[in-house]
Amino acid sequence: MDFFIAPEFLTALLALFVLCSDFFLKEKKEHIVPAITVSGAMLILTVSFAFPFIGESSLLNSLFNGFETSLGKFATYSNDYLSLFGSRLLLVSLVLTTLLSWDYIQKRTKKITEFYALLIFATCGLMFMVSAQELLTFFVSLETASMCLYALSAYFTDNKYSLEAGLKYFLLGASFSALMLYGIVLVYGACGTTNYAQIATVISTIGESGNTNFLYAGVVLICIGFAFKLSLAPFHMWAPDVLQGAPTPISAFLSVSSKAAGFMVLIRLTSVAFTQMNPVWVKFFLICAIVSMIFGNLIAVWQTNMKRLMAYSSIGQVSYLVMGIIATNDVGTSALLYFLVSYVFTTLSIFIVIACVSKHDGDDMADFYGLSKRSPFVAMVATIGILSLCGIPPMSGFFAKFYVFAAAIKSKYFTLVFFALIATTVSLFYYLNVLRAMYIDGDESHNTPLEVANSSKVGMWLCLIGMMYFGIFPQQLVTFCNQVAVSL
Amino acid sequence: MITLTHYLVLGAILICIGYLGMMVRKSAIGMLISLEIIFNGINLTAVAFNRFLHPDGVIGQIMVIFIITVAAAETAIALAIMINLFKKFKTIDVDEVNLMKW
Repeated sequence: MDFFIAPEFLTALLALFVLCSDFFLKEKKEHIVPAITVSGAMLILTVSFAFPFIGESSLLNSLFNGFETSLGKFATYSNDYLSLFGSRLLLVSLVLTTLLSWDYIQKRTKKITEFYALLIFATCGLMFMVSAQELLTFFVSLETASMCLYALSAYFTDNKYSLEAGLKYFLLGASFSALMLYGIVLVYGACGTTNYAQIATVISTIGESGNTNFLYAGVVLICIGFAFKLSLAPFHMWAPDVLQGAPTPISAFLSVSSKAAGFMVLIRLTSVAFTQMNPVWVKFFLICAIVSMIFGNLIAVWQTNMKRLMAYSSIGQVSYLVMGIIATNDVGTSALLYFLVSYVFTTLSIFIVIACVSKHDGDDMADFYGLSKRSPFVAMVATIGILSLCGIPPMSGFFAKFYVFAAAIKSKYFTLVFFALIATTVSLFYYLNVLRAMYIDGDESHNTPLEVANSSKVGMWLCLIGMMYFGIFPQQLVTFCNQVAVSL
Repeated sequence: MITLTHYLVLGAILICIGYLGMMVRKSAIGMLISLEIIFNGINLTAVAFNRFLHPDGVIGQIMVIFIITVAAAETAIALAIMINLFKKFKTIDVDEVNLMKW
């Protein structure tokens, strides 16, 4: 029975159920399907809190433990604290993304069911990716999620921007996946296994044999693949274009769920499989972090499209997140996990606002003019979200940054923290620019009251509660994050 | 005698040809074919590693089966995107599909 309470499997079942519901629903699809998605995801979330599933299940063992190497059999997949954390976070983000899509999708397209089904399949892929215990399972689940997201980016087939986003995302995403795959194959060649724990054992005994060259090359290639998926500069070029062109819910999903899952896998890889290789990947991510702090925050200053601005802002945010990896200690991991929770609520709150405010075909910052008059509630949500992104107490964004910086200082990366502080200051400029846009008066066309759908309102409230609760009472979450970090 | 090095070099050459194709090709279909060449280079490397370095397991061979599946699925999605792109833009030249920059 334990098989059935693993959240990944429940999510896969939910996706199939949503897909099949298309055959039975005749009318009101645009409300019933997202309602099923939200309630299903909430149900799985409840199950995951009521019966937290830790360990390897007996049925899964017989199904998935077929791989055998000279070091013994290994599990391809298992549920531990990190995957529990990951599946909960991804489910929360799925609920919020669905609330965000509800009104947005219904207004813009007739193809409702497939959208939600693909969204759930993507979440499912990301959840498997977090639970994977070896590189091949990780890669296949990554591709499961990516392929859903390629299709979703190009979902509005009558919109040129969406199609362009889909094409660009596919071409760059697939070529960087291939690069990462080559890295995985090279690591396999050097170690003879793909299981994380076994890789660590092999690396500690490998010594100075010829295979280390393959190992180094493989680790660097895998890191490049991650830098691409997390949109760290200099591998960030896809992010602004794709996030601008894709439907807003998908931009939100790409900049929240897929990055959160990517970071959790990165935590697993760096703290389990490649611990001994830390000179290589620490240097790599250090350079990436500093470059993205500078690039992301400086280029964002000139943006006028809201989604593009959020893309550059998320490049900046990711550079702070990656500091938790660079710190290479339990404090860093725990800080990173806390930051991810804060990042999910904060970023989604702003994307929900963007989806409500934007006109049919663009997301220009001019749409935000006079928002405080048109809808004070939406303006308040956006203000709190932006202040949280800036890192102003008592929102969760402040504590998130504080923990990550503290972790980096603990590992003596003073230069990095110095750069991060400067970048934070620069970022204030464009974040406050958005606030300014909301509180200045627009012309006549901007003075009509804004109609906000109930689903979006619920989404905004959830984000607000998340941001404030974890900012004011962080203790419980921090304890859980510490537990996860220590268990690795 | 053909050794591991020969296979690895051939695999690396295929991968380089593939990436070169991704960079110089203008047609999206051409880029897709280049992508397939990359995946084949990776497959060759994986099988060679399995045969010469780790003959006691089958992970390399399993990898190849998964990679072929993933590549096929990617091709299907890419072609679907390209058909829609062609309907709208009347071209699949990637240089002309460039509404968004900076």
